[in-house]
Amino acid sequence: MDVDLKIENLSVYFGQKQILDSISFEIPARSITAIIGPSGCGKSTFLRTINRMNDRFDDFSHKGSIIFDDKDILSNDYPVEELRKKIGMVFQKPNPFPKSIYENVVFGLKIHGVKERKILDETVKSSLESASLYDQVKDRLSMNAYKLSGGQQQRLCIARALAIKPKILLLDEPTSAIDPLATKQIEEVLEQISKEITILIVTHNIQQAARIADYIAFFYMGKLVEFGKAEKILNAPNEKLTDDYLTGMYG
Amino acid sequence: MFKQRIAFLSLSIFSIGILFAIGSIFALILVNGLSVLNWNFLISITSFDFKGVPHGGIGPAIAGTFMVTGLGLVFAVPVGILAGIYLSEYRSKGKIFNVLRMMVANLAGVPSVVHGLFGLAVFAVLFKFGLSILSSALTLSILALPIIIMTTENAMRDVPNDLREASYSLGAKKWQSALLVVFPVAASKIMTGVILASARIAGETAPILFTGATLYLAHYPTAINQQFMALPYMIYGLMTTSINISASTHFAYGIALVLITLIALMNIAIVIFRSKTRKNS
Repeated sequence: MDVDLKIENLSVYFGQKQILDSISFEIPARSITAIIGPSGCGKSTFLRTINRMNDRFDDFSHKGSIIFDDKDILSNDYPVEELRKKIGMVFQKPNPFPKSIYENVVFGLKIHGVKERKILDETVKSSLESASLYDQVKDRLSMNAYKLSGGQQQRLCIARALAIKPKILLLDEPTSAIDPLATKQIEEVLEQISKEITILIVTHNIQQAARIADYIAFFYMGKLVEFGKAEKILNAPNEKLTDDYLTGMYG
Repeated sequence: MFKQRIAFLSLSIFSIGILFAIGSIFALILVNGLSVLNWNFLISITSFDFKGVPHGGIGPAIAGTFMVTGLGLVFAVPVGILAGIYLSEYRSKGKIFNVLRMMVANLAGVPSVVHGLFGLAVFAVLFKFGLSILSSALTLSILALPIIIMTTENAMRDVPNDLREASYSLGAKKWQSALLVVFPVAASKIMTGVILASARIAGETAPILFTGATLYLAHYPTAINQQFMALPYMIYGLMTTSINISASTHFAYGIALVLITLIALMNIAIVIFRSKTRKNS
């Protein structure tokens, strides 16, 4: 099994408060890993630690490491902009820029210095295709992204993240603000792109994890309770805590 | 129920009272000013006869007000916007932020005549710009700064954080996110601040009093190192130093009407900008 990210003894604090406690596991490459667990279990914080989105909070601190391409990406020497080029992110609420569809997709390329029109055009097409949005918007690429529906906006955000060719894509409850039909489309997109990109998705929807995940990590109160193949976790978990969560005893 | 009625009645009376007060100021200026207003009044050069009665028009004063306001904005807009961006994106909390913010707020509260003295001492004398359009414009730009800084800071702050995060998550640096994502969203609100600031400085008298404005000029201003005539200062001059004040009154009302119309136009522009902003978000 190919491994993309090695989480080693990761603890995360906001001020005095410990949010994550000694998390260790390995995230397999080119597959979908779902992180599930009740609200407040630290799953979003975990995801945002991986692309260092938490860096901008003054009281954030951590112990342990995350190894990616043999380097600790949490170390201060690791250039955070480079990291985010390789590890993209899609957020809970669709957050396209109030610019055209085209400008949204090429934003990442442009800030990293790509100017050639041909490359930009091709990237827009391929990224929107990967997010299965191209056919719906190909005639109106200059339209403001805010005019798209919520589901389309979220797929645009996926296309925007894919445009800079990340190795890993992090998704923080990407369908929680979106209707079931649009959710289904996004799930299909994720299954498609997971053939080439490692996907890490936070969800509090167990059915969603069951539908798309290859692996599942179950978090509870800042700790990793159990990690394994999706069928194993869903059908025969080792821990009673996991079983109780999956059967709806709490959560 | 009775109390409710009294409250409603007194609030209505006060509101109508304010409308009445503002309305009567406009009416007074309109009635008195319209009699002198014509095309010639707007473009001609001013002249005084031997009794001290003003004739001709206020062309040089209109030009002077436009030049000094425009040049003031040329200095104030870039500095004010950059300072506002700094306060909202780079220094949004902590001791230094509090001190900076307090200084900006205090700057907004400094009486304009003090700005005038400062402008005289620093721009006219120390920098040797003399009594000139340049000195006055620089003085007015300091007056405009706090307005532009505060509207920029607030407009940038109002932009939702998820747009910043989206930009960071694509590997954008902080300045790229601020300039390419946050600023364009905030721009139309910032624009209203800029118009507000220009309306404010166009009507100021005290800051230009010691730094370059003059009561009488026989020609249009042609260079920024010259003294100039300006609308607000001309009203002041006509009503205080003229030898025939009663004959000058109508002229002064005409100037007041032009000045108020200019400022009203700027405020209408703000209203239009705001409604556009609302439509876009």
